[in-house]
Amino acid sequence: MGENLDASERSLESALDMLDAVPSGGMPSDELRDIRIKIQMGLNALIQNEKAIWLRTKKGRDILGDFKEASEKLVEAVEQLKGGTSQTSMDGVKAALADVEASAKKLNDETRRRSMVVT
Amino acid sequence: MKLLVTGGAGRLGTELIRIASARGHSTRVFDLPQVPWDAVEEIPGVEVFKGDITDRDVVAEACRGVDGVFHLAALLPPKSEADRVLTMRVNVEGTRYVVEALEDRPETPLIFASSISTYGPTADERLPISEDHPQVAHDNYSESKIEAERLIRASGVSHEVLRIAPVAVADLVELPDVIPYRADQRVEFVYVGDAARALYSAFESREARGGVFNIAGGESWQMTGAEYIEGFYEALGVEVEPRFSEEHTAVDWYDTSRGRLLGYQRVTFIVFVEKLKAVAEQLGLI
Repeated sequence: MGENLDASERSLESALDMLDAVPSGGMPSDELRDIRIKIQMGLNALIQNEKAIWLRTKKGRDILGDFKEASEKLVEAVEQLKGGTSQTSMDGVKAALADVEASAKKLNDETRRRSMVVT
Repeated sequence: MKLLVTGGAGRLGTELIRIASARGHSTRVFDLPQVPWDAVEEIPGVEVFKGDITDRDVVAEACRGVDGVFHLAALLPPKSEADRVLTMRVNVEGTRYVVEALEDRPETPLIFASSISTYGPTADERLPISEDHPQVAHDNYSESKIEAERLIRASGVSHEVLRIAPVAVADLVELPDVIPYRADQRVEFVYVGDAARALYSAFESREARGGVFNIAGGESWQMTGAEYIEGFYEALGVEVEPRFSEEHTAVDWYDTSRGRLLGYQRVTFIVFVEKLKAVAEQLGLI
């Protein structure tokens, strides 16, 4: 469980670093900012949920496996931007980012659902 | 019969609806549109009614044509402590609208889910805490529940008030940053299915009309906060490092003898632990 979580964190951090290296002027700055924010939100979801007990369940392990896969695909997609941005490379980033966002939402939703309630 | 359950899509409401459905009743389930409805929708005889308890007209419509009302809708801690105005709107005004809708219908009982939290912190007091113990508003939630109880008692509506202890669910529950009671504090929870059974029995029992009842697990559930948390997570096969409140809070051991006529205390803590172990296996934890 911890390996997939750490690997996902590393991938998202590396995607953020790589975005800094994207040639300026190749992409509208507001679009770049939007992508950065979404990656950071994915990273936040990992950090905030890293102590969640339910991550040790089969469901938790599966979600973290999907998260790792989505994060790695995002890194590959962001890497394509280094050579300059095109509509195709941008679409690739957006698609990979959507998978990361979906995994982050699953993490947050399940933790919220399992929070302790007192009557 | 047709029964209305406000706040019915929550865990306690869902258990109650299952019991009512098994007894052949249909239920109208009132809850916010944005809550998860999946579990409720699977139960036979359920009419989904999406709405907001703070809307008087919607509440009146929800109460139309039903033979009994279980009023569970409430803002609970910790959310209740973040917004006093909203807590009063939901927990007090919402109750007022339910009472208004039932005022000219003495044959329709209102079963109200109140809380043992209304007794305030009682760690220094003689045990057990009975229904005659004074109510002490010590936070938004308890204040709202005390006021809602007052509204119901002052009305002409046929009613029962159930002061329910913290509900224990046989499922993996995340530890909060701070456990809301001390490690050495006396605590007594109640299994969610038993609390639901108490609510249903209160509706069925004419003897219970007008009564106020403590609803808690009974002797097997009377332990310290640390014992409860340890037993809970050990059953799940999970090691945890809980951080407990440093202050005594409003959970204690309760006198539940008055509520015996409701016949609800069926799941002992030992049985609950067995249920948790089964859940842990299902979830792949052990």
